Amino acid sequence: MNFSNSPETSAPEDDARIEQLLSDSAQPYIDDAGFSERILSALPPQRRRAERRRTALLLCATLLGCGYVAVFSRSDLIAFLAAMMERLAAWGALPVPGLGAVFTVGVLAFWIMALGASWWAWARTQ
Amino acid sequence: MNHRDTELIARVLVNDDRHAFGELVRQHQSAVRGFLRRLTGGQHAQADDLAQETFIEAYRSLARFQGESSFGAWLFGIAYNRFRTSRRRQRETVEWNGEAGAQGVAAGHEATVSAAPATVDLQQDLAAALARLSADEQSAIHLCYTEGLTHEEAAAVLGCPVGTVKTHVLRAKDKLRTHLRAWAPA
Repeated sequence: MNFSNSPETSAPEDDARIEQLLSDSAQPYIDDAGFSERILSALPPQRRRAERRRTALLLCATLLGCGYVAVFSRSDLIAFLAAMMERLAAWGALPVPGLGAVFTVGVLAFWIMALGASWWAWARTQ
Repeated sequence: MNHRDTELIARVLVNDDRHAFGELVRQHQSAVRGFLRRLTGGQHAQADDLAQETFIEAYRSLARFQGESSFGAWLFGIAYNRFRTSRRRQRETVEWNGEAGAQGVAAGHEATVSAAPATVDLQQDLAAALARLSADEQSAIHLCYTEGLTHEEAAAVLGCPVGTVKTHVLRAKDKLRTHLRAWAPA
């Protein structure tokens, strides 16, 4: 490995030689010798447990929501709300013909979405 | 970025796949530990401790890896920051110049010495010449030519502009050319 002793000799050649020398001086491979196992044993607890807890909480909240809607939809809450909206319509505030039907459809749609969310949350745990 | 690394990282992020992360560690542990051994002047135990901290932090912050550089370069950045933090904590100044630095860097290079006497002498002279470089020049020249990173990746590791890395590399090569002039033909 020769390097120029003369300033007139092209620097790019010296650069190439130095780069080759540095590349050749790279550290040889270091055996793992249990290093990876030590890393894995030192890692924090697996995130999957926390994720399952979150999914379970979501599932419970969704089912509670469904139960709440189920309980109140059996009462005359819908009829009450429909009557209130019709009174507003009678005052000329809002034109809302057939509001009762619209509201019922809305509650059904909410049920379907809540059930869909429950199924999705359950599927994520699988 | 390496396609295999991409797949393994995805498995870790989506499923917290410990086997996948173990594979990432096995693939990159040699390079990271070798890099830290050079930075610590051949102190293997300290280098391995820092390497362990590096991989644990990499696991914790894996979601922040955006893929702008290779995964290896990203690990070098974490390792370099860990090394600097360790130095600040110990309140030590690394002797990059003079006897201690030369010994430390020589220790980091000792495994590369081959059997031929001329090569041994050249490697030792190279080690001594590298010890005379500043810390930044050593890191830049090592990352770019020994670890094979691009200037942009080295800049990301060292936390400085690309132009600064190029300047460090140029100055380092000038100094090495001067110090190794003794190997010129008569």
